[in-house]
Amino acid sequence: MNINKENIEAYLLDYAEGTLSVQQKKEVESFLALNPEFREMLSLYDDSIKLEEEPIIFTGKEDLKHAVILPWKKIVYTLSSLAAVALLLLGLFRFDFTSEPMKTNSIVVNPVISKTPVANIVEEIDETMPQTKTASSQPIKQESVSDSQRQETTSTPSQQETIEPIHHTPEIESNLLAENTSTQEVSNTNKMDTIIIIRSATERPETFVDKMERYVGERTVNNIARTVGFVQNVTRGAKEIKKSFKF
Amino acid sequence: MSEREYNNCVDELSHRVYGYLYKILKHKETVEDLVQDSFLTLWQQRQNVHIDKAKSFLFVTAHNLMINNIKYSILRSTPTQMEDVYQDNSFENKNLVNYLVEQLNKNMKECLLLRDLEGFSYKEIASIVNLTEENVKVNIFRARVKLKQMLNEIEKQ
Repeated sequence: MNINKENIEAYLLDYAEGTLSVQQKKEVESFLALNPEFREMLSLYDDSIKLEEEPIIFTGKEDLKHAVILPWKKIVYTLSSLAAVALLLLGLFRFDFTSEPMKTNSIVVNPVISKTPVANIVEEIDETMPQTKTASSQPIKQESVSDSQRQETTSTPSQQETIEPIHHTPEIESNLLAENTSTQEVSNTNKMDTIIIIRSATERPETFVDKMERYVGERTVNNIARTVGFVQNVTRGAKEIKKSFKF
Repeated sequence: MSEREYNNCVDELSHRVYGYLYKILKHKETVEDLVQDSFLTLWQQRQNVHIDKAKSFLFVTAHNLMINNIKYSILRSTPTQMEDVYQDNSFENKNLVNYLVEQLNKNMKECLLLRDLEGFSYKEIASIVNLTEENVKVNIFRARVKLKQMLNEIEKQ
């Protein structure tokens, strides 16, 4: 302990409060003997002089508080959040954007769809076969389906495709419709036939392709398959299609 | 510290922090702002502050904010606010000792307030006012001697 004139007051406070050890007390007393002005200061020290608390009114107390979330509520909130995320993920996985998008019986027919090459072709097949027809009214980028046909070609509206003569019999048509129809509401109109065939194409593409191949030939089948929305399947499964239908 | 413990701190300590700052600054609006900022800091740091240390944390924060506020006021040379700080020195409606405390210098006053009114240990006061424990003791000793001297002078008159 090094007592000097700079820190003696700190020791005097401890001395007055009685918190010093015997050794420290002796050192303080010997310092006071040598420096009597501090003894006089010690005599003035009076710890009985106390500040008194004044009534303080603080009105902003409630503004400082925060809402308390009870533990069980936290659990409920957490579980709710997890359930919401799970439902969202489930929905995303159920709705496969990449392949076979139509899985329900209810189908909304966009007027644009009825003007697609598929519709045109089907209608033309129904009405005028066997004839030479324009296969597509829109440019269609065609990918090859085998290694020997890797070159990309584009068919334009001006490009005419010759559809081979097809033996179109009412029996085959009715068989096709019966096999591929997913609803009972089948009319005899060409428009409804078109809808049904498009639906068949989206729901059961292999069967559809199989049936259509017999009518219109492989190139047109490729175009149809591409147009009805499973382009990726066609690209990815080109070999499979070729193998299945012996293109 | 949980939300509930924080709210308990508001109940138990807000008026004490307010009182401490008001005794030094004597400016209601400024003190209210500082109390709000102090508790906002406590709320933001509640995960790191144990309930046992909340009082000390609050006073450290409040004291630092007060020092910054005083420095800012001096820098901006806003005489009105600084006059407000020390305007309430009238003897009326005050306990004699409380009145005499106003005559002490800032360090003595802070240390004495924290010791006598808030009951902090010398070590805690040292951390709040950013002094050594020895300096805190010196300030408190001198404050009490000064108060005694002033009381003696008043008695003589």
